[in-house]
Amino acid sequence: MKVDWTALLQVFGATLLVTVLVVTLFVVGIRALSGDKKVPAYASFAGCVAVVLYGLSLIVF
Amino acid sequence: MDPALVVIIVVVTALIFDFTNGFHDTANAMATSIATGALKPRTAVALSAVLNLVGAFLSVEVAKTISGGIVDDAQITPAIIFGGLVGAIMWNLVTWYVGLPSSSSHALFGGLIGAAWVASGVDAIHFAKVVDKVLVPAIVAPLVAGLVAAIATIVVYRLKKAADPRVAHTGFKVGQVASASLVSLAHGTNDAQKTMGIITLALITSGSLAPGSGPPTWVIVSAGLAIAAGTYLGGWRITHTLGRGLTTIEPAQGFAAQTSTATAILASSHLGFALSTTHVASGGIMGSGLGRDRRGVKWGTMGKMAAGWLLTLPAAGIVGALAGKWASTGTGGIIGVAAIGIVVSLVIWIMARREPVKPEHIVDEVAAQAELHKVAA
Repeated sequence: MKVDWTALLQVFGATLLVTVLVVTLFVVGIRALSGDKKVPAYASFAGCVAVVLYGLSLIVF
Repeated sequence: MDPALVVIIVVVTALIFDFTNGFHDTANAMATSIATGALKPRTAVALSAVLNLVGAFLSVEVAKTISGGIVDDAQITPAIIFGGLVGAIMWNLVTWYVGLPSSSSHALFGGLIGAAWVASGVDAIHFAKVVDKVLVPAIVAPLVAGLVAAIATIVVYRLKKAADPRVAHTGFKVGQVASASLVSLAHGTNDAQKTMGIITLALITSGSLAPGSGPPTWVIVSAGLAIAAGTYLGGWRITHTLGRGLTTIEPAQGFAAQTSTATAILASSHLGFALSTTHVASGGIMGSGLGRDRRGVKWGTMGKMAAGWLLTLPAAGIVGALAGKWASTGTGGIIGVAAIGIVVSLVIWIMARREPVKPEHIVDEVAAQAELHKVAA
């Protein structure tokens, strides 16, 4: 029985990093939007989209 | 019976399983969005179906885990795979009927392992691979999703204090739909691949494909379509348990839970872990409930779900073992297993129709509590 703990640790690390990054960017965007700061808000949302697309591209290619 | 015919029966049965999987699992992706009113049930389900289809094309790692690892393809036959599949479908239908979000994936593994074990002996199963790629991820992935969801929820609630509540409310509803879409995509990626893996395994055991092959394109396309169709047509009953029973969810919290769930599933799929999307989604919802308020989680419901999870592998294994043993005895066995499978499915379908849960019912029930948005103590 050999369990690949490194792979599981990678799953944990990737999940933690990506999730915290995406939700933080998103909330920052919402805060900016509340203060009517359009440009930083959209930059944050674009950041979210970029992180997600990058993650998906890692899986596909 | 002509071996080619047996393979065709396995392919059709696997696609039916895939359909029931979509039918069963719509809830995982869309429950929280429906519960908070971010999406109308019908829109939610249609969106989820399309994304499941797209997800099926993203990766083949999980399919390879199933077709090339957990059982010895030299020792089993398409008839045994058929028995395992019937066992999995039976278990899926029963849990669907009683509204238990058990795992379609574990039903599949249970059925396959049970059938192979009884029909070909214990050597036919690669237990090391089962532990490494199925059992350990089954425990770790929901914990990872839960822990990360808890952290993400704390981050979201800390940071959103400074935001205008109205902007935040609308914003998180959009975020929730986006993250729910990612969960659907992740679901298609992990779960459609299990069917591809099974069909590929059947093709390998019948000699149509070389051992170690990946799924052919027609297998990928048909598995994607079957899961999408099932997603579109099913799931109201389980959405009911998962969206409301477990913990009461706000859009911001749903967003945090789903982002964590989708990421955990996608990362695992990439490494070929064939995990249960149901378990990961439940872990995510639980974790975010804890992150928001420790008293907010209904441990009773959680206990019942965990019991269902523990039961799935052995229960589907026993049904799969019986069906696999019988199916491997010859033509009569295959016909007998098919007949019993069809009869049981029909009975459950008729029983379910007696007390249907329609999308309209869910909307009404959600509307009644939509104003509250408080964590149930």
